[in-house]
Amino acid sequence: MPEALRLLCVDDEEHILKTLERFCHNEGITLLTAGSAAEALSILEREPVMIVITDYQMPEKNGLEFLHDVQTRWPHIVRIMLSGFIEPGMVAQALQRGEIFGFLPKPWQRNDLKNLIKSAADQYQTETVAERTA
Amino acid sequence: MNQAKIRTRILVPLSLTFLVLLGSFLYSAYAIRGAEVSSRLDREYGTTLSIFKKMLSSKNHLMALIAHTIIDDPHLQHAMRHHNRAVLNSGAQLYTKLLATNGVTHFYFHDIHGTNFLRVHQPDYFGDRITRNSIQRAMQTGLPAHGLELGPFGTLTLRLVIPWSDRAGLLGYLELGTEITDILDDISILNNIDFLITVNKALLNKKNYATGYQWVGKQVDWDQFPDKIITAQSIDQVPPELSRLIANSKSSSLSIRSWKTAILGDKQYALKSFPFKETSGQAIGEFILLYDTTQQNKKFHQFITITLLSSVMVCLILFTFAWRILGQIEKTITQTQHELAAEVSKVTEANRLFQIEIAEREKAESALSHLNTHLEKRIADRTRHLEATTRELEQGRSDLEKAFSELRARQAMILHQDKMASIGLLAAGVAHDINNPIGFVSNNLEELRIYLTRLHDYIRNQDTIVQTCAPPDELKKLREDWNQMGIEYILDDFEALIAESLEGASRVSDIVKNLRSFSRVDDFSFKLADINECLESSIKITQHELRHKAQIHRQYGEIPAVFCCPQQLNQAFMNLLVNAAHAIDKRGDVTLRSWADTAYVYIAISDSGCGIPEHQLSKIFEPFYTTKEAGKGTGLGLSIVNDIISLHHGEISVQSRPNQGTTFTIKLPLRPEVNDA
Repeated sequence: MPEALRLLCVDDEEHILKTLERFCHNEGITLLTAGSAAEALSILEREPVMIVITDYQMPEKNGLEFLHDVQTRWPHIVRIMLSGFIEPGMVAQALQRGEIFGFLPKPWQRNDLKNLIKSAADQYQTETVAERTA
Repeated sequence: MNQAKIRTRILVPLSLTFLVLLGSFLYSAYAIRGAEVSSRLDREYGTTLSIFKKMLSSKNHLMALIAHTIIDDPHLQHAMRHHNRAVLNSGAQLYTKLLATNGVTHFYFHDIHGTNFLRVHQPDYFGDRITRNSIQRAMQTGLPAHGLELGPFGTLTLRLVIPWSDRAGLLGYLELGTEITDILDDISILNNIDFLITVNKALLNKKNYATGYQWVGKQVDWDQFPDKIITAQSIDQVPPELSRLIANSKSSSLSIRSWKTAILGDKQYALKSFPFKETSGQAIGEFILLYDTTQQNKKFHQFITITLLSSVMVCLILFTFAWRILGQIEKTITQTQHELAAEVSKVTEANRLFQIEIAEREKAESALSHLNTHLEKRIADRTRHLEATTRELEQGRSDLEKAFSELRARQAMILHQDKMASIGLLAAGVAHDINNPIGFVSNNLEELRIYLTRLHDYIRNQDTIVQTCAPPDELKKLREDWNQMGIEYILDDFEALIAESLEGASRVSDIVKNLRSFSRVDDFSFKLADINECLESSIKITQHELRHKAQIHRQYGEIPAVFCCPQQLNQAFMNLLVNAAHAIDKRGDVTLRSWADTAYVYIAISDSGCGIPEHQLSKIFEPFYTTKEAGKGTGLGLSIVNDIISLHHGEISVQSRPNQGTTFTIKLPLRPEVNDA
């Protein structure tokens, strides 16, 4: 990875955030965490982030709405959905419309996550290069 | 028929009857009248006769008194004894006055031989033999004898002959006689009747007769009638009818035995003749009784007239009344007749129609009988048709029953699926809450594995270094600690431990995932699916049932993907697996096999359970059939399986042996020709 990856994870479940922190620590990825969409947005306003991973079911604002805000304000950030509640129809729609880059069900396989983040990083790199050259 | 006829028919016989009755009445009246008159005449005759006889008797008595005076005269006795006619005559002359005063006109003396000795009124005529009955009787008996006798001159005389005796014996006979004409006149006056007495001319001599009547001072017309003369009559003139009767009668008798009528002037007489006899019994003529009926006739005719008139009047009234009543009746009858005639014509018409109808009916009957001959055949045909129809209906009914039971099963299945869907929704609800902890547990385990792997590597490296450079005592101690703490085991075991933990987490995750699949039960979409995977999924879902009862044996063959509805097949397999678990009492085996040929995929699920009794095998796929105790089973499981397999155009069969086990075998076409799901 040419550039240090900066991830933002949003989940109201603290254990998930910690698990992801361990994963990122072991993978050498910089991870920012937020317990809610509002907190995540405030972080995004302050910090540069390449990939956002969010839970779907959260209090106040759900993951999809949050990602919608992210897409609006920071369209270059690659958006990944992570959820224990599977709504295949909804997920398929979101994927088709380009609202999310990828989806990972809870509980996830470590390798799946690793591969997804890798491809997300590639996506981010591609888009950033395109923007710069444009 | 007409009006007059009915009136005549009733009134003419009535009138005739009336006339007959009237005639009968008149006849009866006249007959009664006649009988009355006749009996009156008879009675009058009787009375007259009795009076006449009494008068005769009285006259006779008088004559007897006188006669006895005469015969007791000694002077006369003497003269007679000595046949001294002149003395006798002169002596007798003394009595003639007495005799004449008493109406005695005959005064004779006869000798003992019955020869006339002296006629006092005719002294020069004597010596003739007297043969009259009266003297005959006196001569025979020697006693006085009297009688009414017709004299030779045609006069009727009451004669008394007394034998005349003195002390010396019989002197002769004294005869006294009186004309009865006076007596008859008296009778006529006394009895208020009239009469005529006729005498047969044969008994008389015209010359003597005239002389005789001349003596008594009467005029009699000898030639008035051919055979008779009237000797006495109380009426001045003989009524012409009577004259005719007398003139027409024979000499012997007049024979007016029944009474007749005769009119004289303004008087009417009823008359009847009776034989007139001498005392000797010889009939000499007729006694014709005339009874004046003028008054009676008048009254009788008045009565008859009044009766007739009143009867006729009453009859006329009745007749008129009857005439009018009958007129009305006739009118009614005529009206009725008209109506009847109309009715009759109607009936005639109806009859005619009837005849026609009868003819038609006969025709129809023959047609019917003709039809009848075919009817049996037709009925048989129809019966066959009906039987066929009944069979069809029965078939239809059983089809309907089948359809109904299928519907019921389908409904039950839907209900069951609803239930499962509810479970799915519930599972979906809890999925998030379960998956989050599972997520971090399993991922932490993975991180832990990385950590431990690193630690393991580090410890191995460290151990190698320690083995080379550490003092032996220290090394020994380390070795002891190593052994004591079981580090070698830990290092060997942590990998398995983490793997097993991950396996547990994965299993929980799978359960949730499988439960979640029911949240989309309406997703009956057909797709190509791996049946073996379906079986595996079903095993996982029913793991909680199977784990404690059975050892699962998987004998999956290499089978192609099947175009099917995996959710439903999962449901079917799940039900079969749960049943298998229930069939096993304590511990047994459940074997899943799959194989395929060119057209079909076969799945067999066997258990080593209690088995199914043979008599129940045919029923187990019926809805609501259950052998489980109440509350434990719905009786729907196998019926739902059956429905699902049918939906896939597959077949399910069962083989079972009690106490050995049961095997359900499912046969699914690889590509069923359906897209209706």
